[in-house]
Amino acid sequence: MPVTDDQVATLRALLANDRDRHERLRAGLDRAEAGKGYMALIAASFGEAALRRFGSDYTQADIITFVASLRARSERVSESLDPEVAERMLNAALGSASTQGLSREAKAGSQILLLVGLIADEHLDDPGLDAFLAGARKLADQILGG
Amino acid sequence: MSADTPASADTVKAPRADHAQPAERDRGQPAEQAPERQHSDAGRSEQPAHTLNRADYNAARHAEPPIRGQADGKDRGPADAPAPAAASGGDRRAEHAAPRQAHDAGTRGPQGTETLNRADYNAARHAEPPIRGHDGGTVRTPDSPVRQPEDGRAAEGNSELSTRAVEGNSPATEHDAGIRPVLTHFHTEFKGHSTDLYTDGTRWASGDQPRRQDLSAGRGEIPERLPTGEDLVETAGEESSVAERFRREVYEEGEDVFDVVETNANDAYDFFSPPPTGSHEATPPAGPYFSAQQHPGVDVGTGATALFALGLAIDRVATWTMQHWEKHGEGH
Repeated sequence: MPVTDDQVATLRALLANDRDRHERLRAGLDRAEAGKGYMALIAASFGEAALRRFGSDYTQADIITFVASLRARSERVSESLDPEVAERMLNAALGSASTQGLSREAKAGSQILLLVGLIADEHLDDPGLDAFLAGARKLADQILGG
Repeated sequence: MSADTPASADTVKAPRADHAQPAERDRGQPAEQAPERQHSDAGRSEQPAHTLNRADYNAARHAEPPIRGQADGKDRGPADAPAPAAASGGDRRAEHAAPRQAHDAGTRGPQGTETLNRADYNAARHAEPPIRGHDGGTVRTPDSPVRQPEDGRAAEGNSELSTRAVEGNSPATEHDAGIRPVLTHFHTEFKGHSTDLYTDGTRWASGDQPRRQDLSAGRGEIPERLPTGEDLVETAGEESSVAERFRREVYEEGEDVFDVVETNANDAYDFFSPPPTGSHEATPPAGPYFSAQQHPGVDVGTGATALFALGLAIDRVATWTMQHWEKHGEGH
């Protein structure tokens, strides 16, 4: 079951800060398919964004600083984003840690916040966002295919 | 065993027959017990169990049809047929029987067949090349009899199998005197595939695995042995490894986690909002600091004074203007 166009459009609306469109498209998603394809797209997008932000030359201070800056931007985010979980998720995406022991809800909830935070800092234009999502979709299809 | 004794099944015995009585061989059976064994073998080959003289034997042999092999069904020639005649294109089975006789003679010592004289044996040996081992080296030839181990355990196989003693990591040869074999190596080739088996007398183990380049059956053909998981991991691309890492560490599927994601997505919109306003905080620089000159503000008293002065000035100007107009107006 590959990633569908509707799922890509839904995530694109979220990352483009188009709230009305995002909510409309999200309501039209099939929940069973979204539980796999959309989640794989989010995971791939989060991993890609983390690699773009930190690459291979980073320190733990960079990750800690980034998570702290995200939590400082909003009272709601600071409550919903556990810094320890967020840092482990970033390290796992970069290949230097494991998420073993984290709950499924904690992993899924933190990665969407981290993903939007990473993309918001990138200030991508429309072609840049489309290119980013195209690469993430390819990677998501590999995740689903494995 | 005399020269009159027919070789019968012992001479052309199948390989399984060699392994049928390992205990007998291992104990180094004396030559006097050979006739008994001949009789048992003769039973297998439907030969009379009692000893026959040459005349009776020849009569019985001509009365019965030749013995047929199990595998190819070709006629087996008489075991006492002269080997040169067989090598010259007569009976093919007899051609192979001669070196086997010599082979058995080398491994069994006094129990070996004695039906060939030296000339016949040499002719048969030159008709069939020596058996070569897995590594290409000659392992055993009919004229290089296998050394009997000290414990009497015979390293023996059929004509398709070769044996050699293996001791430790040193390459063993059968010609090294004094080496006691701890392992027996059996090697055979069938349709281009070689098989190596090792035994210490109680257990069997396969030989070394073939090299990787030997696995392929050729271009365009399916390899006989598929690559292992470790091989696949070694050859996997970087992209697939990233996908595998994300799948293992990040990806979570299910409708329940989808709900969690959408709940947190509403909070994530805060990242696009302007940063919260706050007071500016500056860190004081290290070292001597000269504060800026203080500018006092306007208090209420000063303001009242200013207003009074302004009102007074306006009053004076109005008064002066009134007087001046009355004075010059009355004059016109």
